[in-house]
Amino acid sequence: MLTGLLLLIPLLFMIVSLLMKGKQSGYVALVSSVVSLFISLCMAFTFQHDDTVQFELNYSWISSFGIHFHLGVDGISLILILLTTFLTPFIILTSLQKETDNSNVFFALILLMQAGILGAFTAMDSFLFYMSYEVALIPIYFICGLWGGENRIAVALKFFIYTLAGSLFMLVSIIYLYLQTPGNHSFEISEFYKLNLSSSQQSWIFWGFFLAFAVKIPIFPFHSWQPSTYTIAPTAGTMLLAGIMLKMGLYGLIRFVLPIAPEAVAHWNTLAILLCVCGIIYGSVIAIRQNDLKKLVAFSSIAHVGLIAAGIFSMNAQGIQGAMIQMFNHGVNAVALFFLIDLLERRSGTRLMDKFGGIASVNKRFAVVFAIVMLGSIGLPMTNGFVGEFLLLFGVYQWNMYAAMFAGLTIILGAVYMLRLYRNVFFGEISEASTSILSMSMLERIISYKLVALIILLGIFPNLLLNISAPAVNKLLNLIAHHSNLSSIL
Amino acid sequence: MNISDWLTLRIEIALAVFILLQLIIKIFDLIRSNETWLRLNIAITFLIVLLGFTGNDSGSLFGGMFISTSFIIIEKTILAFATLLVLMQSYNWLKHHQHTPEFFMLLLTALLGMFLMLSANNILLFYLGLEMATIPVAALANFDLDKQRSSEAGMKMILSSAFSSGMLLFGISIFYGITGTLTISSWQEILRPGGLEVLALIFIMTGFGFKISLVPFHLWTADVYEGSPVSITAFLSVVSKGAVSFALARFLFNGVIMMQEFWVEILFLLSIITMTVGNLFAMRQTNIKRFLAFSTVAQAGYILLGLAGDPVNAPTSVVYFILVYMFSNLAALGVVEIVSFATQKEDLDDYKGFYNSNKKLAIVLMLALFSLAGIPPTAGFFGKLFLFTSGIHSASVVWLLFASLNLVVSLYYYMRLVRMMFSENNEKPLASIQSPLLSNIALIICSAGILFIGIFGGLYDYLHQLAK
Repeated sequence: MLTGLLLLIPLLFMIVSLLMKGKQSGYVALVSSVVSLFISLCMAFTFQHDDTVQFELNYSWISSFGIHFHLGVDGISLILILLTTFLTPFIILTSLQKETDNSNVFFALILLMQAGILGAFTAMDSFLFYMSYEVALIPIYFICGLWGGENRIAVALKFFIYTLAGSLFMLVSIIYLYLQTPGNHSFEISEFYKLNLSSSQQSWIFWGFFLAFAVKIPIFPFHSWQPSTYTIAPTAGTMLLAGIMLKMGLYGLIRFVLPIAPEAVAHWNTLAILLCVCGIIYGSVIAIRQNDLKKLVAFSSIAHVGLIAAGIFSMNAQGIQGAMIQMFNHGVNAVALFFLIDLLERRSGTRLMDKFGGIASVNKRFAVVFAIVMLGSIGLPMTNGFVGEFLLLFGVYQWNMYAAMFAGLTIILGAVYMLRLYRNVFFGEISEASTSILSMSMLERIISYKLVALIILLGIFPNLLLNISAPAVNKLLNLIAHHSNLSSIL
Repeated sequence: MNISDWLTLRIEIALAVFILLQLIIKIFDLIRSNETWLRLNIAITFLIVLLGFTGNDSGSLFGGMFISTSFIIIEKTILAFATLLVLMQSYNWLKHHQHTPEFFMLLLTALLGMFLMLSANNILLFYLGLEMATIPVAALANFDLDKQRSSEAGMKMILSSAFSSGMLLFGISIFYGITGTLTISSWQEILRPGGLEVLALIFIMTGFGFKISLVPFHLWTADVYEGSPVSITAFLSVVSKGAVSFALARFLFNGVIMMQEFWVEILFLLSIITMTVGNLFAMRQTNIKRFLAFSTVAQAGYILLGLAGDPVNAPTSVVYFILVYMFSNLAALGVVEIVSFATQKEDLDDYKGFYNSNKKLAIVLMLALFSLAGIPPTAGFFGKLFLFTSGIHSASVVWLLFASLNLVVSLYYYMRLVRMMFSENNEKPLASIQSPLLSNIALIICSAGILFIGIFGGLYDYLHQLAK
């Protein structure tokens, strides 16, 4: 029931928002996102902390094809639902700060995207998952293509074709799995878990899914769409992409790849983690050289998600739990960073690092906020980033010490590029651009304080999230262990 | 014949009566205004669509020459509905045409021919229906009377269809020689793969290949599509192609099912060449009608993939796909028709910045292109999905791989047009166009179809049940 509402609310408000004009549509979208937040909080409070699928909703959709409209929530989904509903109000508020052409369409697209993403996170039917996964892509294509910056149409098209082509492989894998299910065939994900696939079958499935998700996450070397798209997208689009959308790829790894093809993961994860580690170092090193703040955060994002993916591929409790919490944290941190950069850009008209300087002496409050967000992103103890990165590195370490050593560079290199950014923008001589950051509006203060509070809160009480996902993650690991036992008997 | 036999034939009888009535009206010149003719014919076609939803459908007539099942009725209804949409879209064009009544008579005669072809269980009746469905359309292709290209299109169409009918007849006569019967459904007990049978099958497939413009029999398509009036392009690419696809499915599964192993190989070859060549040519076109022509050539390749399924899923997925394809293609051609009527511009480059001057039309065209490209959640995605899952039954991995790669290629050129529409820099942008009411209604119906048919999954279940 609640799950159905969660999907229905953004869709309904989307229509209302389309009918409104100007800022009104933004307020409608805001109301919708707050209602969604409220619903998801209701879910979080009534959620039983065990490994069952709750708040289920199951209708037959195309029965001769075994497609069901089956929604459900377990610990893994719940965290990502919370992430989505927490961030959407901030994203809409950020967009409300400035004038947007055709704002009714803009906000309607954001809501459509929210619905698509929530659909992917709650889908218990693989076909529904695929549909939602793609539905979320169309609005972001238009958000980038219509409201983006320079060269937006070409960049958005590249992004669109890249991800769509990637997910075609996932579709093929899903159809293959569907045909393996016994009897009348079914697209239910839980049916896929019961299949006994041979190791070569698993390998094919693994690569099919891997290609789709590696493009979305993005894992090096499938990242080439990401920096340009992040840069041209309007801030709301970048936030949606970095904060929420790429989590669909990581979620897909946990939901599909690990339990369905565990042997193949065990077989191929050396290569996969190698790619992730390459991405970590590559993203960080390029971030060090960036002058455009948005680009810097975009490249740092490649590094961060690379670590999350590495944790997932290490296939142990710490790695996956770390991925769960870090998915949430990365979302919060990325949205906070993009929000602050957007503020800088709105005030001064530029986001080039060398145009700024000395903001710390102009506006101390802003400097402190930025510092905390930055530290969270680096992963300093007491901030949210620390818990996630610690668990992830611990997970990778258990798999292989050397991999963990190289993956650990993310913290050091992260400190390098972030502190360099901070030094150039906040210290030194006061530049012309910096003087425009004299004060923050009431709304901006509220948004940034809330994000900062969230960063610190989760740094101190990570168990708020860890407890939600722990039973589901354990169940997942049991499933994997069960699979490998079976194969050793056979 | 008792009353229930008449009811089995009700759609054909109604259509024939209407055609004759119109002829009489025309002879005595009872209706002068083109607009009245148009309204009358839209009403007639609507009535034919409604007739499809009435009464008990199964039956066989004239010693089994003519058969009817719920599934066939659904196919006919889809064709009639597509014709209705074409008529609505051609309102503007026909309003000032000097031979409007003849247009309708020819169009409805072609439709009647298709109905007979679909219901035929006798190969000669089938052939007559096919010819009846083709020759009037060739005349219609020539209906832009003052344009040379239009005459050329008509001529090309009549020549190529005469050639393909020859092929078809040759194949048919060999089958008749082997089996000694003209009844299609009794062939399956007699025909077994053998030298002569295979030769005949190749001839027949060539004939079909011309009619649904498979590569290498597609050479007439682009010229005819480009030269004909847009409404006729729409009729040809949706209704004619749909009807022949349905007929092909029936022929393969009723007549020559025992040679399935062999015809799947033919389908495989035709399908991969058709998809690939269609896509590669579509990429290079500069005229939007030629562009859509080649893209429909490529779409036919996917239909063949669907036909490689089992006797229940294959026809179901083809009918479903044609339904979806009807909405998508008619939406695209509807927009092209409005633009080409108002501005005489038909180049792809003219569509640069289309979104800025005509937001609503651009969004409809975008939806249509999304659906043709098979992007979820549009209906086109479901159509392709069902074709693919049906084809998995006996298609080889190479075939599926080719089809998937072609999907990606087609994604590129469909999205290129979308990109053009949303870009801003065009020195001579299209003016803002006021589209007529009936065309708008047709476009709304198409858009609704594109958006909702896939999501309401019950339709596929329904077709699937009828096909059993």
